[in-house]
Amino acid sequence: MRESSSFFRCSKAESSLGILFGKSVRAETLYSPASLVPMGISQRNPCKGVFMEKIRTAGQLRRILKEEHATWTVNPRFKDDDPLPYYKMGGDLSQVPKISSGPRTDISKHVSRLTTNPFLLQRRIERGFVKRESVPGHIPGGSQPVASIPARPMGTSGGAAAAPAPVGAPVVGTSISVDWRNRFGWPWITNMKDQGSCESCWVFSAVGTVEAQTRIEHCIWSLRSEGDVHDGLGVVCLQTGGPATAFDWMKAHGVADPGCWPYEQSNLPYAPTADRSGRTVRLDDYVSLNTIQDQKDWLDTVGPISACFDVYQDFWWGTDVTNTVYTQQSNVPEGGHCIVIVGYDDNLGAWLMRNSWGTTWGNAGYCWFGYGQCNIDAYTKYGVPNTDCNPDPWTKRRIHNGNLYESGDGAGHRNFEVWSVAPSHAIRHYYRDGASLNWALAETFGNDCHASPTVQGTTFNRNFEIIYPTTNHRLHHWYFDQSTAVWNDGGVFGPHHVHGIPAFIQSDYGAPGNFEVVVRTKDSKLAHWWRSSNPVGPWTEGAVFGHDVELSAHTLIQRRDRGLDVVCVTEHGAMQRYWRDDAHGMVWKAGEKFGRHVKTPPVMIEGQFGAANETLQGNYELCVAVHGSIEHWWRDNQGTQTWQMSATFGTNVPGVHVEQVLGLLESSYGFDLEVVALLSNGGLQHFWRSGGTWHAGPVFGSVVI
Amino acid sequence: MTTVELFVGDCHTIRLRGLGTAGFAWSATVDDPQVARVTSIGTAAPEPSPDSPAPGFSSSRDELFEILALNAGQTVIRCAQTRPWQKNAPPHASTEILFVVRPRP
Repeated sequence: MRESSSFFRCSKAESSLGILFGKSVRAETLYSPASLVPMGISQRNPCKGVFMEKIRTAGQLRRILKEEHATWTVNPRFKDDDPLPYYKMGGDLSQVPKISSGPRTDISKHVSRLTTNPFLLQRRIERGFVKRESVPGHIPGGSQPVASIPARPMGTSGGAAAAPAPVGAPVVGTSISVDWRNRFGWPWITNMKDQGSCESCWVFSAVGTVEAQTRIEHCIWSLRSEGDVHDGLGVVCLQTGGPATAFDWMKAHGVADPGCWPYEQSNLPYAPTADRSGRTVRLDDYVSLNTIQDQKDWLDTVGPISACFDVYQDFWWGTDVTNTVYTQQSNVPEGGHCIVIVGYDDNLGAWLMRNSWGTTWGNAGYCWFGYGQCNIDAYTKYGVPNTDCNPDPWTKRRIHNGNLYESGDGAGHRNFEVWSVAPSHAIRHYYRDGASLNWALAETFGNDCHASPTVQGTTFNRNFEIIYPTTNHRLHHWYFDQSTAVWNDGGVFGPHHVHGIPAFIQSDYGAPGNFEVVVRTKDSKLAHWWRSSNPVGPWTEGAVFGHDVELSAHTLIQRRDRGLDVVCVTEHGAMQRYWRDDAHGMVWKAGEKFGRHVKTPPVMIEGQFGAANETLQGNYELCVAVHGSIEHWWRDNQGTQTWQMSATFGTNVPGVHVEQVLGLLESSYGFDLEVVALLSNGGLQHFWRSGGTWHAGPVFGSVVI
Repeated sequence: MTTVELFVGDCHTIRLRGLGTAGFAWSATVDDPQVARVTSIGTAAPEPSPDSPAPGFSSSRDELFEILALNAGQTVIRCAQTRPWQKNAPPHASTEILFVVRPRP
């Protein structure tokens, strides 16, 4: 570009066309052509030219461009009277909510709730927000410990969760410091992110808060996509806003994972995968936090918060950002910035800030930010109440298996769901209400169920899907349509000589992901069948593998490298892992053997133990009935990759023993393991492990043996 | 390349679209310091743009540089937008401006 120039005689001449060209980068959706350099210059209209005017309509802009003989035009789809696109995202600085501008939010109703995170519950009791006598036992009517193992911090290996302090510990005041990066012996914050060159910090701030709160309240990593919110809002890369806009959108639409729609800086048209409704963390509400004490109380007893402040130049590289506590030294303002506060330290007099500028900034992306600096305590901060996140089945796909599932239904979005064989080969659905913790019988359906079904919550609109072996040695698929609340017959499929219970998952091949099933056949082998989900296709035989297989089981898991793992029981009473090598022809290979005297099918999940961040594979947890008791095994997937038996426990019901483990999950109750087992009298009993101790819970329902 | 013509003693301000809230800063260097001197003189509120008439909270301010014409001649001012702490990263954006400085008539 070469502009004709005239000589300026003024002492200071501002390049006004440069401003317009600069802004043209923001306007990629509005103008054509769009790819203008981010800086231009002209000397024809110094300081107070027409481009400084407030431009409100497309027609105004069109006239100005014509007058200036600009080579680019307003997109014809905008009529002259159309207002220029304006997204209400916080407005200018004077319009950003200040903590003094509105009524104080009463946070007492939030911090007095009975969170299922035992560590937080303990804090709320200690702080006096929750009365100890109002805390019910994990199971109504109490429970009986049936086995204990030494408690370990989450760390790198399995075993038991670090136990919170006993309920009733001495009351203490506000914590001097909070750091959610590692608190109570567990990591709670996902890996550092980078917004790149988009002015999208306000989205990162809100999504980061939801992501952290989901982890804290549901005890599961749930990486969320800022791009889903940013592009779902229809904004382009350089459009700015405030966290409330992003929170409001998530309240209406949820927030999906990056696999559904990623964060990119290329302003692509928003086109998430077709199964988005089944892979969004839903958000019921968020609240503004108006006082410093409320904000600290929230951080101490609920979770991280979203915050904004004024950026000055020294925030980019100041040594105090990296090493000590940031205090404003520069007087050159750069704009407004939004981040996540994940802690504080009164000794330092600072908030612990999670930025979104990657790991090379500050201290691995974090910094201590002095209280009150840059108006951080003048602007309203936001928090997500602990019961208001509802994680999706895709998030939870690896932490449950067999006939037990923690759904998003009920109070706190944490009902337990169980399906079992009923008289006349029907299936009974039981559920445990997340508020009362009472088990109840729901619907009954089907008439050909031969053995315990396996259930998945799938990305098909969060439907329940179950597969079981039929009385005619086939496999049968049913699904519960969440939109109509009706069970539908998905059809009979699979080998004609099924002799085992099926393992069933939804994999990440396709979106919605394919269904994958592994089941034992009469010839003591394992058969893999799969069904395309997009489009929905017929069930297809994939491979036959293994030998001397006595039992197939609810043990199928997809690894991070997309391969599959499954554990069966051999004719010699051992358990054996088989794995599919997806990188090399999807060939099934025999893995390690472990255990002895096993004559019942195990259930296996991948839990959160060992997963120090959201990208790492957690340990495998496996429960199996042996000699009438339950053995708990775990595999250290980040370390030795060997199996170890952690505990043996049994029923507390006199005169009966455990016949078979039917379901296993790692729950939102502080990473507890939950087991549903079949007793020798046909009853179903719930067991759980909390803080290293296995407990025997109530007997509910029954199974036709 | 954009060309700007100045007389000796003129002072010219260029305004660059900032990305400070994403961590980016403009730097400007002059090829021939005998001809002109470039100085960062701060930031200015972004002007309303077609897609955001009222800049939102996370708006970055524009960055201002002042070029002082010292002696007759010509020189190039090179501007680069980088994250200051990422020393080896390529610039997110860059631009060059040719300044032609003439003797004051």
